[in-house]
Amino acid sequence: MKIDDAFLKIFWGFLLVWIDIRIMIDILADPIGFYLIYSGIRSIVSKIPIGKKAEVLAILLVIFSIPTVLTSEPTAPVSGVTFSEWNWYFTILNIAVLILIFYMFQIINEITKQSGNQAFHKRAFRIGVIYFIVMFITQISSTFAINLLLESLMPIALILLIAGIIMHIVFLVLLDEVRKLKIELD
Amino acid sequence: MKDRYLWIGLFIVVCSILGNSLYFQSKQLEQPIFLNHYYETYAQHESPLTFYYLSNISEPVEVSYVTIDGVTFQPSIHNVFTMWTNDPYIPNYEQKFTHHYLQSVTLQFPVQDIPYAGKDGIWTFNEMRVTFTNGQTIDATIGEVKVINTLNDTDALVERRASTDNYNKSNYLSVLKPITINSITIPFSEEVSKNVLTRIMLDPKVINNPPTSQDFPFWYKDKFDIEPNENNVYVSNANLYPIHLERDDWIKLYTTFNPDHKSYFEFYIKLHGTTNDGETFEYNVLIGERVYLTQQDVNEIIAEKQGGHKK
Repeated sequence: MKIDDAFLKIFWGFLLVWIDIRIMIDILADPIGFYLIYSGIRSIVSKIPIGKKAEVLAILLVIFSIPTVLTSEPTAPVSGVTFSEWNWYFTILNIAVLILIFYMFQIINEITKQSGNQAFHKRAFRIGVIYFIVMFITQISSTFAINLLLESLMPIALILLIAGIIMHIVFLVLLDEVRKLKIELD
Repeated sequence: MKDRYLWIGLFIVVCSILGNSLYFQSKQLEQPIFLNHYYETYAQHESPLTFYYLSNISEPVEVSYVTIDGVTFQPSIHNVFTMWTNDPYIPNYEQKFTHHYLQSVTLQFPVQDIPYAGKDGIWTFNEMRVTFTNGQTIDATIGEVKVINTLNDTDALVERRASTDNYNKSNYLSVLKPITINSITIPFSEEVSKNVLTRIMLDPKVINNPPTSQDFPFWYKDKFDIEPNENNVYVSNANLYPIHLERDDWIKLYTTFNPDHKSYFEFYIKLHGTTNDGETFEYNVLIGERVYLTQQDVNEIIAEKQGGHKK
């Protein structure tokens, strides 16, 4: 199995997960995205054993993300904070996706190490570290949202939102770069 | 990339979620809390009175109806709900705080519905049973409201001007007939007088022996500059009376509220006196004061009111 086919699937998988286009339902359904990720990882997991965790988590997410087809993540409601089951569901889903991306970075790390391209290996590692620092700060800040006035949170929320989008794009570009390595795994 | 860092990070995030959830829960009110209102109104004016309460920001509630001394009153302004709209419910609120809304309900007391007790023709209540649109019913202490049956006014005085500047109100009165003012009183003496200072300004020729020292409440000394006998303004107290006023004389009332007060006021300052014909009269000057709450005020109000419940 060539790594570029696998990473093409993974690339499209994450794109589907992150892009929501809703016409009554989410037509770019998250479960399909997670399935593509699962399918991509499965094709290379025999060569990269560290990917086993990502494979298991991706197939679990295919099932776990089914409700997102019909429900969108609740935005801050006008009436203030609601503390519904849906908030908990999306909190768990977001954390699970974060774990999946961590495992993806482990796979990328392994592949770039094997590729022998030291500079690329180092860069990929650094991107992973920055990605997780940004996401960690975002996750921590969002837990304080219920105890702070929404208005006072706006500037930092906006900065983190932009930083998050940038990191998502950087991650997608990195997936594409790994694909272009076109290496054969032994 | 060691798994350990991921799990440490996630552990911190989970702790933060739990900590914030617990803190959020601890700030929730079991039931809305009504603030203190000191309102006085004349039945025939039928002027509506607005009552303020704190509700959870996660669960704002509107008042459906209230029952006072067995009589039910509907809010005079209803929220309009339309059947076909999917719009989420937008609460009507006066102020927004971290965990709470300050909401209000406006009630009208039609003359025919008022249960007068006693000979003085004053209906006084301190509590009301409030039913909210979510079905919850609470007994709320609301301060004190007096609905007075008959208004005794006089044609010896007339109010020419009234102005408001933050915590200071001034009312300018003209004298139409020769009168003697024997006292000036404010209602709800205990609770209100702690937070209100009434001073009067008189023409120097009217005062024979101006008081040499004046008695200011501590909060006034704390918050405002005091200049002794500034511009012939005197703190209203027994030594000042009686005051004899001729036709075309004037009297100016200065009413100052303690800037730290946390209640709503609407009442009449009463000038008691006699005309030269020997008739006694009282003249009413309407004073209203709303509070603008800070987050700290809200915390204190909740602590006070909830502390009171547990006793």
